[in-house]
This record gives sequence, C-alpha cells and structure tokens, in this order.
Amino acid sequence: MIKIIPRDKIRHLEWNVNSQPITAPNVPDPVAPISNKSIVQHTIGDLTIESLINSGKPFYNSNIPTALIEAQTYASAGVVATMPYLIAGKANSDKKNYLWKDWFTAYTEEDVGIDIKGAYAPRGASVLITLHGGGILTPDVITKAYEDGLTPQNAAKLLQEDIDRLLIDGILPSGEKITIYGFDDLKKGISDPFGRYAVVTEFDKVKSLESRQFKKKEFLENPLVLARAGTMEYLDQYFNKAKDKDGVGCWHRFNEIDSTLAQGRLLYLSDSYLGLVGDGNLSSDGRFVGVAPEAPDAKK
Amino acid sequence: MTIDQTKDIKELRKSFIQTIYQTLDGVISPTPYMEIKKGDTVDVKFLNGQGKLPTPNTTEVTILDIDAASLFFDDFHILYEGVTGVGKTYTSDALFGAIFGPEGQTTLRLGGSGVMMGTSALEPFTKTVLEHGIPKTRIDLDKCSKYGALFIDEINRGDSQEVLQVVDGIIDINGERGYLRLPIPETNPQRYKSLAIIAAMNPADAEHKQALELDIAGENRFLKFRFPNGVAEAASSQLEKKVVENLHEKFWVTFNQKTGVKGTWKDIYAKITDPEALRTELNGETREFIDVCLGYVGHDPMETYEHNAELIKQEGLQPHFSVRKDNDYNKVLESQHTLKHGFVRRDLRKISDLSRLVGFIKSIKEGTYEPKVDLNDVAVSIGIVLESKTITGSEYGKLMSLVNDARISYNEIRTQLNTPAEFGFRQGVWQSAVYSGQEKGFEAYLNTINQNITAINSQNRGPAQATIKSRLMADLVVLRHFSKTYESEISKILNEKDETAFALFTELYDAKKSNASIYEHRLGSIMR
Repeated sequence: MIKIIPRDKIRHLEWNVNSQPITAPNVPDPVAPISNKSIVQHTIGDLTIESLINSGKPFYNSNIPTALIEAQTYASAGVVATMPYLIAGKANSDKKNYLWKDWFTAYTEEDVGIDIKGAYAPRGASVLITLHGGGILTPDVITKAYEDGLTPQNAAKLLQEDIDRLLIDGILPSGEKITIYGFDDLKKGISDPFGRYAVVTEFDKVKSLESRQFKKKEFLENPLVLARAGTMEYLDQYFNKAKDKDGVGCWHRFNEIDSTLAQGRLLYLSDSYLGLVGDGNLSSDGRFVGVAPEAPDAKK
Repeated sequence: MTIDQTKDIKELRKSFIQTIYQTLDGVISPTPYMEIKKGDTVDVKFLNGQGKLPTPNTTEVTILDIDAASLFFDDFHILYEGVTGVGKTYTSDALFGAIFGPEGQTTLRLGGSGVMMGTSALEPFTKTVLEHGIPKTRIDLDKCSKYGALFIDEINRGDSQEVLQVVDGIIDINGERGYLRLPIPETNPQRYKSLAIIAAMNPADAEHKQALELDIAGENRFLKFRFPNGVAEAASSQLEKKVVENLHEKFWVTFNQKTGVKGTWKDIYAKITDPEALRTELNGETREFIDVCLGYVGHDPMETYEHNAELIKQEGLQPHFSVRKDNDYNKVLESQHTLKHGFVRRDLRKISDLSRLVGFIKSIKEGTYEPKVDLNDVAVSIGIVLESKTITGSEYGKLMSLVNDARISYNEIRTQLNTPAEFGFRQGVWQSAVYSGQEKGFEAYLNTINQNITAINSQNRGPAQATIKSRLMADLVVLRHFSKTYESEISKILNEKDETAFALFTELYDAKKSNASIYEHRLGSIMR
C-alpha cells in the first residue's frame, strides 16, 4: 500500500526549469605536469625553508584568534607560515621533523565573494580568493565573526566591500596593497610563493572539483592544489612523503556554500595523507607556525 | 462480563498493564535499564541499574517495562545476560507467576551437558506412550497449548538445538509436529498467541566457566540485554520485596475489579496481548533511516560508501563527497571492533519489533497505551540491537554513539533537503517526479530525479553524513536507471492524471524488479 504524499508537501522537490539537471562536473583545465627543471629554493625576506624547518615554532590554542595572535607576536619581524611555506617545509624535511608530527593551521585564507566589476570572472560571478599571508581574516575579524555567527558551513561572514577593494585595487582592509595573481600566473610560476599575495579563481571552476584524496597525477594537476600551494615546485616531493595508498587529499566545501555571500575560512595542512584541508570549521582549534628571523635556533 | 463482550481492547490493555505494575509493586524493585530523551536528536543512556532524577521529555525504561511490554509482541524474545545474583530470574518469575500462575508457565534450566529439569528441552511438551510394549516419546498436544510463558535459564550452558525448536514455537519429534501457542479466542480465521519466552544467561567469562558465547543462531532469535546490576542502587529498599504465594490470584482479582471481566488467564491473556491489535507500521521516514543507518553503524562506512559510489559511477555520475580516513572514521572502526558479527536479515525484524516495543513502553509511560513509532524509537532500537551483538565484556554505549551520529546526520540531510515529516527523502523525490511528470511529461519526471541527485551530491561533514548520502544518492541513481530503462512504460503511466499513476508505477516495479536484484534492494522501500 503506497502512502501518497500530498503534492504541496513536496512541490519544492519538483524539477525547476531554472535549475540545472545533472551535467558533467565543471572542471577547469588541468595544471601542466611538473617539469623536470631543478627545484628552486624560494625565500621570504631573510627566511628560508630551513628557517621554517629548524626554527619554526607552533602556537596552539583551542581559540583560533588567540593562536594567531601568539604566532604573530612571536614572529613580529618574521612571518606566520602560509600554506605554500608549510608545504615547502614538509617537502624539504624528514619525517622526524615537527612539521610531520601534527596538523597546522596555515596563514592562508580561502575567501569567496562576488567579482562586481568582472576583474577576474564574468561581472557579478563569484570568485575564490586564496589569500596567502592573511589580511582579511584578522584575529579581530574572526572574533567578531564568532559573535555575529558563522555561516551554516562554519566560515566567517565577510564584507563584500572588502572583497571589492581587494579585487579592484589589490588593497587589504589594513590599507596594504598586495599582488593579485590570476590562475594562469601561477601556472607560469611566481617569484614570491611564500609571501603575501592573493590568487583569484572563478568560483564555478572550482565548485565542482572533487573533495577527496587523489593519486599523484590527479593531485598535481588539480588547480585548487596549485592555488593553495602557490607553486608547483615542492608539490611532487611533498606528495611522495605525505601519501598513503589512496594518495593525498585536497578538501573543500564549495559545493555546499552560498557563493553569493562573502565568506572566508582558513586552510589547514594535515600531518599526513589528508593533505590540504579547506573544509575545516573556523570555530575549531588553531595551530599556527611562527618563524622569527631572530630566533635563537635560526642562528645555529 | 466476559472478554468477548468487551469491545474496547485498548482499555483492557491499559487495565492489564496497570494491574501488572500494581500487583508487582510490593514484589519488584524497579531496575533501570535505559533512559531515552526525546528531542531533535536521540539521546539514550544505559543506566546499568542506576536511575537518574527525572527530567522533562525523558523516559526511564526498567526491566519490568521490557518484560511486560514484550508480552504483547510475538516476533521476538528477551534474553538477559548478567552475572549470578543480579536478579535476572526474579523479575520474570514474578511477572510470569502473577499472570500465568504455577500451572501456566514452566522453566527450562540448562546444564553443562544437557537439561537439568527433564531429559530434554522438549520434555514439558511431550508424553511417553507404550507402543507394542516399547516406551515412545510423543508430542502432547494438550501440553503444547498448556503454557503461556517459558523461562529458559542458563541458555548458553548446553546443546541449544532443542531449545531453538522451543523458541521457534515448532517442535518435531519422531515425525510429529507440535505448535507451542495459545488459540486467541473469538478470532476468525483462528489466530494464535505465541509462547512468551524470557531467557537468561551468565556471561561467558572467567568467572562462569561452563558458560559459552551463545551461537549466532541462538542470539539471532533473541533480543539480548545486559542485565543491569541495580543492587547497590536499590540497596535496603529491596529488603521488603518478595514474591508472595497468591500473586496470581491477586493479579486476576485486581484485573476483574478494574474491568469487570471474568475468566481464567487462558480466557483473557491471549486476547488482550494479541499482536494484531497492536500492529504499528513503520513510516517512510523510519524505514529510510533503517536503510541508511545500517551501512554506517553495522559495516565499515568506507566499504558502504565505495559500494554505493560504484553504483553511482556505473550510471556515469560522480559523488562529490567521500569518507575520509581521519580520526572520526577510525573511531567508527574502533567501535565496530566490539561487534561479534554484523547485521543479519533477522536483525531488521528485530529493529522493527523493538521499535514497536519502545514505542509501546513510551505510550505506557505517557498513559496513551497506543504505540507510535518515531525516528528516535528506531534509532534506540538499532542501538540496542547493535549493543546486543557485542563481545562479552566490551564497553557498553559506544555503538549507540554511532547510531546517534547517524541520527544527527540523517536529520541534517532531511532538514537541508526540506523533506516532509514522516516520509522518506527518496519517497519524496519519486513521488514529486511522478507529479511533475504527470503535468509536464517524462522529461520533467527524469529531471526531477536528476535535480535531487544533484541536490544531495554535496560535500559532507564526517563519515556518517558521507555514508548516508551515498546510500540516498545511489538509490536515486538506481531509480534513474530504472526510469530510463522503462521510459516508454513510465511515459504511459504519467498520462494518468490522478493517484492511479502511483499504483501503476508500483505494478511496473513489481513486474520488472526481478530483472535486477538491485532494483528490489534499492527501490522496494521507496515504492511502499
């Protein structure tokens, strides 16, 4: 005996001509495979990858803003490690190093908003801004986001005007001007992958990417991996060390979020095969790595 | 007044249960088993004999509640596991003694190499006759319908094959068959009430050397509860509790005073506890929860996901979510390691029956005496069945946490997809597709299914949500495949402009389901 559901109760499930039936995932062009050219050792100011490996100091707190403030205070003349810097550090360190012992919060934001002027996407379309070195999600902004309430997917609600200013003029809320790279710039290679800059990608091109572990070829060709890593230089080495039998992960929640709402979250780097984690809650714990040029260990 | 003159079985049921509690008030100290808290999520705590202060929307379930409610269900029996001296037999003895008296119940007590009380577990139902001067054991049909209840003590201390026959209610001896049951008065065609059975056993541990783990065939026939040890909690309040000799008479005199119904237990009991009078169907929501939950709580979620993902990929689609091998996943596996064996077909029936039992106990506590099974009852039941399958000595409650995870995740998905109460999401998608197709044709029908596959194909939070989503999505993908395969037939059905279309669709499904087992496994519960 079938129980018939009154149509009014399920009308919302019926096909809406304005919505999309299932189509093939909208995947951007794959990244070119890594070349055989020699590995370039990037730096950030006086800091090298070895600075991170040998004298980086983790700052853990169950409250993200507190952990970030502590790391920033420690590294006042240095840096809080971004995702590209952490990946390079793991790629160049052995598995006994502290970088392989724990997960870390990268000082890299993934912000989503509308490209009102159409600077990097069709006018009015959503974009993904991978902001290395922070700038929008400051401790104060995160704390206020807690008070105002996070999005249903646990990201901070941002001001669209902050997104506008960054996309149009390359200016952060602090007034600092940074370089904005398009995705094609990254594919060609940039000179300062460990620095503060933003990578802007059309949101529609990353929305349908799978969120899972990938085998090496898929991982290295994944455009979201490149946006997060900033450079291809260290990915091959990193993958080989981090992988398990299913490869290394690159996770996100793009398919769930309302991309018309300006929002941002921080990235995490897993201790091992879970890899690049972009679906962590902004309400969870934080563990940043501060690297200070004057750190005693750095002088050894 | 006799029972057949009384029309309102519900009132009789209420009086019968009230009489149980009233009669046994001075006999049994309540032994708290679990606490169920109602709300958006299920909250079940096993109390192990230690009650809590009552709070709003919370139901405390005691051993007597379980024993008493189980009399109304023929589909399963109760098995208590617990160390000697905690009172496993006491509550059941008192309950059976009150209702059935000394002549209407019997006890089987198994020993290490056989049955202590008689030569066979079947002995209470047999007689010895001389045939050509040779004594032969024959089934005694009178004895087969003599007892209303049977208590089996130390069920794990011997050969259980004969016991299993008794438990199943069908005994075979020397080519004869006997049915252990009571005729239910005034039923046409004649219906029968099964023997009420409660069993007990010591745990198979170092302290109980003759006790063995009950084999799977045995455990599958019972709903196993770990008997709580409430001795320390009840303490001196138990001292005055004792089984009095006239309990049976007291019970039925009280019942007669309440209802005016006269007669022996045989005249009244089977009619009042007729399971048909208490039949409660699970709705689409609860059925769907059983479908999606088992793959998470009773199996490796990764394997469940991968099987579903394989189905999805066969249809050319790709899930946008996955089960991650993270700490949450490892915790699931860790909890599942305590399982002695996974779910079997009989467990589905147990879950359904236990849900009704829990729903009934709640209705008793609330004073309605009309069971209604909701999602929490099913979640509780899945948890209890899972816990009953754990290895002796394992930590209690871990598997219930898994069920809670599944319950929360399923609820989130339903909320996200705006699924109407009491119906399953898959049901809703199928029926909305039919509505849409009736109005705009097959393309709209198929696009409705596609649209909802897309809606559910989003990122997940944790292994529970990924596993559940994979099942829901895979089932819709099977529906899509079925629909494309039988497009011409479905297009004709969609020309029907009323509810006939649903019936015709079900007929089509019934006619075609044998073409692929996956149709029956995945679509059967959608088209009910």
